Amino acid sequence: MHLRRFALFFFLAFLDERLAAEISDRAAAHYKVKNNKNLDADSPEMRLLTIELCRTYWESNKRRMSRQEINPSVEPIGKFPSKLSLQPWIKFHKQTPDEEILTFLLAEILKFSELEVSEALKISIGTLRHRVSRTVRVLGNFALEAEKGAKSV
Amino acid sequence: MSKDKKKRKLTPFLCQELLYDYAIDSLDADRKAAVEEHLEENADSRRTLKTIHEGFEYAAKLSQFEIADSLVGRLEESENIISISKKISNYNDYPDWVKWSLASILASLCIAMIAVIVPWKTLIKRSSIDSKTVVLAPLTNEKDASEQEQDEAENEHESSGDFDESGAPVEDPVQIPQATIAATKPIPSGTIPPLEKLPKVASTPAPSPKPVVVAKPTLTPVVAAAPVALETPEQVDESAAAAVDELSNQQPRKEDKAKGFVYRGFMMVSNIEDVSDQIVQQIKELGGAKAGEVELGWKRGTLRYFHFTLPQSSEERLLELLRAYGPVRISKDPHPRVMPEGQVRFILSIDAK
Repeated sequence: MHLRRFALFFFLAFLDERLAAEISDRAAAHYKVKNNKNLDADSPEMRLLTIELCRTYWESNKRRMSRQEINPSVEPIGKFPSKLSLQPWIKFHKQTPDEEILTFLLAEILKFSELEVSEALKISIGTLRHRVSRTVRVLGNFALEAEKGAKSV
Repeated sequence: MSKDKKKRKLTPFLCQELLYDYAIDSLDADRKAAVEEHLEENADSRRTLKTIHEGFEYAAKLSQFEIADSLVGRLEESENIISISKKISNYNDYPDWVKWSLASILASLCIAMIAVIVPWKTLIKRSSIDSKTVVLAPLTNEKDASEQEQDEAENEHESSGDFDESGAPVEDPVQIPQATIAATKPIPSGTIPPLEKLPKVASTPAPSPKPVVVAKPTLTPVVAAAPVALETPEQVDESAAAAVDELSNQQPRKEDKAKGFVYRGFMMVSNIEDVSDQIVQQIKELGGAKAGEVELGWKRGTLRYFHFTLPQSSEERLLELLRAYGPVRISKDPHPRVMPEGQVRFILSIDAK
């Protein structure tokens, strides 16, 4: 479960399949070291650890990603539902602050609870909701545009 | 009337801000009703709500991501330095023989490190010589003196085997440590005469040795606990002062050391008894004479000790004779004492194989 979370998070965060695979690998190894009691990936401690590792590796490696030429290939990592275009996400990624991307990924994509995310990111639930509110509107706009574009074609 | 007061009327701006909370259904009933009322009247807010739902829908589709099996396998096997080192350092899982081997190697390394790192020589010197103690006159009783002489003869390192002008062996000058001052008199040219030549001191044991303070201009005043009873305090003061003056005027000993030399030889033979006697005989035949206190071929365990003088003309012949018994290691070492013209001095040690 945690491996899927790492792969999805780092792919959508870096939008670079190689970097995503490399950082997922490191995060997974780190996770293994920390989980010396072999706790379940959905236990509260491990969920918190997953969030913490996502945040840490994202913060320390985001400088390595190219924000100009973003053309990710999802096949090496996995697959999304058919007919899903990544263009809305790429557009959204380009114009959204990093902390909002991080919050949205954790809360809406990986589906961690508001309490877990706010605790791990050390922000209030109000701040968390505000960030998600902003991002979901922007992402929704791009998704609608992409949908309209697809219908017109 | 009171019902109208309770009903909240929200501004369009506030309604826009509350749309997200409305979408996730986290508003209380009153605010929810107010937002719904606003949505009925405002088309922009309805479009905004639609985008919010669209955003959630798109996020939900992204969440349906399926990770590739190849990546799962790779991530499950992923290791980093810490996890690898943790595996290696899991000492309890090692077999017993590996554990004991590692422990013994570690212990050996620790002992070797201690033996190499600790400055043993310095520690021994420090423990044996207290820098604040000054030996004024290391006098011993007659028995001790004779034992000391015997030891000097036994070990060539303890006896330099020096010679006077006539070629006769003389006692070594007493090596005076830097902080040692002789309190006896007279002290010719920085040396202390042999023990038997020292002036007799009262042999009656002093009930408690009285420390003697020696005032030396160039040295810090030192106190020594003299284990003997000196004649009078005045004599002691004069002797000490004379000794201090002599030492102060003394030339550096290094200058003297380079003048003379001594041959030191060592060899190993199988039949030590016979060879030793033969070598004694040959030395005597070549005009050699013993130079120390002990006879030629003096025994100490399996070692035979030959300290002798020899005419320089017989030097080569002697070496030839010695080589007949086996390989000889000869070194010509500098020595402060100069031998008379035409004479050389040998210190030869022969050990059994």
